[in-house]
Amino acid sequence: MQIILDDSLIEGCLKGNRLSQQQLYKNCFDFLIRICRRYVSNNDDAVDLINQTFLKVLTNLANFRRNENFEAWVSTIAVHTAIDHIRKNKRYRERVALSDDYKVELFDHDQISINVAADKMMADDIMKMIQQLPVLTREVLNLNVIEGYHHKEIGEMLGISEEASRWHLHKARQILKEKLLVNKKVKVA
Amino acid sequence: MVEKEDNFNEFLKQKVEESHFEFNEAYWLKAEKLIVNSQPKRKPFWWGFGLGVLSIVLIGGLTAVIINNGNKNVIADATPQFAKATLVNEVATVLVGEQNTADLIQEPEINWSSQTEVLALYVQHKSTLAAKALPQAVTKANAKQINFSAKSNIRNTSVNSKDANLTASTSGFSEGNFSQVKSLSVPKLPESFVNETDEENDDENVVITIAEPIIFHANVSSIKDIDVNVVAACENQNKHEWMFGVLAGISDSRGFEGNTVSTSKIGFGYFGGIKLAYKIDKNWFVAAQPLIYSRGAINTSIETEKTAYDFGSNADEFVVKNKALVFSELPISIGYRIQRHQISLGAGIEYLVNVKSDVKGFGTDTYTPNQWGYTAGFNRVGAMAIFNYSFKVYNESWITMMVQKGFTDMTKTDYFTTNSKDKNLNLRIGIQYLLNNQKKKGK
Repeated sequence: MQIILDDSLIEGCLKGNRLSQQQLYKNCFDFLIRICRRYVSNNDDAVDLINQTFLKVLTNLANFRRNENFEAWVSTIAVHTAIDHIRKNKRYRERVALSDDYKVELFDHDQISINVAADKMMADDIMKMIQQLPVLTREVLNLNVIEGYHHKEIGEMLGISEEASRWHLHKARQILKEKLLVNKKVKVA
Repeated sequence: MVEKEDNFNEFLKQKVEESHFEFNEAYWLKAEKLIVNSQPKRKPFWWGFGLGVLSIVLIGGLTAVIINNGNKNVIADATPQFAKATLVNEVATVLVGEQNTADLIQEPEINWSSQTEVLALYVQHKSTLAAKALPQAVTKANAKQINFSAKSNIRNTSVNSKDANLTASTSGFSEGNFSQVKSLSVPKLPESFVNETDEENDDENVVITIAEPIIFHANVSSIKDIDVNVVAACENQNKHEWMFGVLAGISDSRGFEGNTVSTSKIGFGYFGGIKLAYKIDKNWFVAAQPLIYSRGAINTSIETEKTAYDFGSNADEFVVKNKALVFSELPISIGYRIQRHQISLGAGIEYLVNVKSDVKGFGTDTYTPNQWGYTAGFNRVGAMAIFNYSFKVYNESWITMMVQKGFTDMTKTDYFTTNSKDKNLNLRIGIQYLLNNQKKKGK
């Protein structure tokens, strides 16, 4: 997905032109909401996260080099803003503090074929399932599956061990698959 | 298994990408509010100016109140003390031989501010005193010489000091401008004090000379006077490269007697002024910093001597307090600012506007003509040099240190003795905060 951007828009934002800022916000919104929704449990928080991200984008716009990929730059800011936001969360900090004893049991426990069930699901339903995951589990899933970070990097970003990161990913997949199965049964019924 | 996981990952990514969320204008309004709130609020130019003026007014007003209260006390206290000192001493001196001194001194509840009571006390012991042939007041000639001639009818109970030249003699930083004393109450004196009538006046206009008790002088060998000032400054740098600042602070004066710290005296004053600076280029600037400030000192001169009056009493302690020198100065400096440092060097003129001291108690001494002088004004102009260093501590907060040295002895010679030195050495340490310091983009 691309953000519509041109030099005049950037110049306008640099000069503090409110209309330019508004236009850039609109252009970035769809891109940012896809990122931010995944990191928080509700849409209101997602919008707050977008706004914080956008403020950082504006503040640092002068440092953006025109030959860089704007989407990648904005995405990095959004992800880091989201992580900062979550790290401030008290429940998250408590969860991390208890995360030292994770034992990763990687086994192929599910015998479910998700294809049939999942394909029929709406994207928003999947997004809601992701949002309902425990905070730390959700972040690991996002960073690994969607953003493509390795467990070592995720561990450093979230302040947890690499093993814990693997465990959370496993947990996320397990929960999602169970939900998909339930959803399928309900729909079939 | 890995393949299944990869499929699941792809499935999640795909669904996340497909998810949709409608834009709402309310989201932008929320973001706009966040942007506005995040912008530093610029305080208007007058904010800094007003703050500075307010500081000056407050500090100046407070100082004025303190000084004025001091003067009131002088007026109120001086006369009774004088009366008490002279009369009690006189009476006591005479009565010593009578072994009644203790009784007299312990005279219960004498209201020394009441001239009636003082006179009554005197009259009570008049015969005793007369028997001892009390000394005469100084002669008229002497009175003229010492410049205190209180013309008053004997029946009057007070003289106005405007008619008298109260003189102060100092040899250091204890200067006195006693013309500030508007009225000085002198107790009604007994007739026996009058030994001579003014030939130029009729009999009802008797000249009374009461020179000794009201002559006072300090004899302090001051060599330095160092001020340490605390500066609070606000500056405003606008886009036209002009910088305007307001400075205000208190000064802590420290005089050294006999070149020893142990006998130094400390006093407080205030100062305030403005600073105008013009930025020549990125680093260089010129600045003019007109200031007016007062340097105060507490107990700058204390002397206790025992000297016999002509009429037999001993001298009592006198204290010259609360020295206040008021200067105005105009230093012009050139400065260089680089990164977090700013250095400036300059020179300028200073003008001694006034010197004022409060007199707490009166006494006397063996007066020596060359220690007297008239406080006819202190309008002196001197030269000075200034060095300033500032360090940017955080954001727009700076710590400044300034050394200022005067080259002219502002309070010496004619007025006092030749020992006087008041070549001001000022150390000013302060903090200042730059308001609205607008940085140009790219600089």
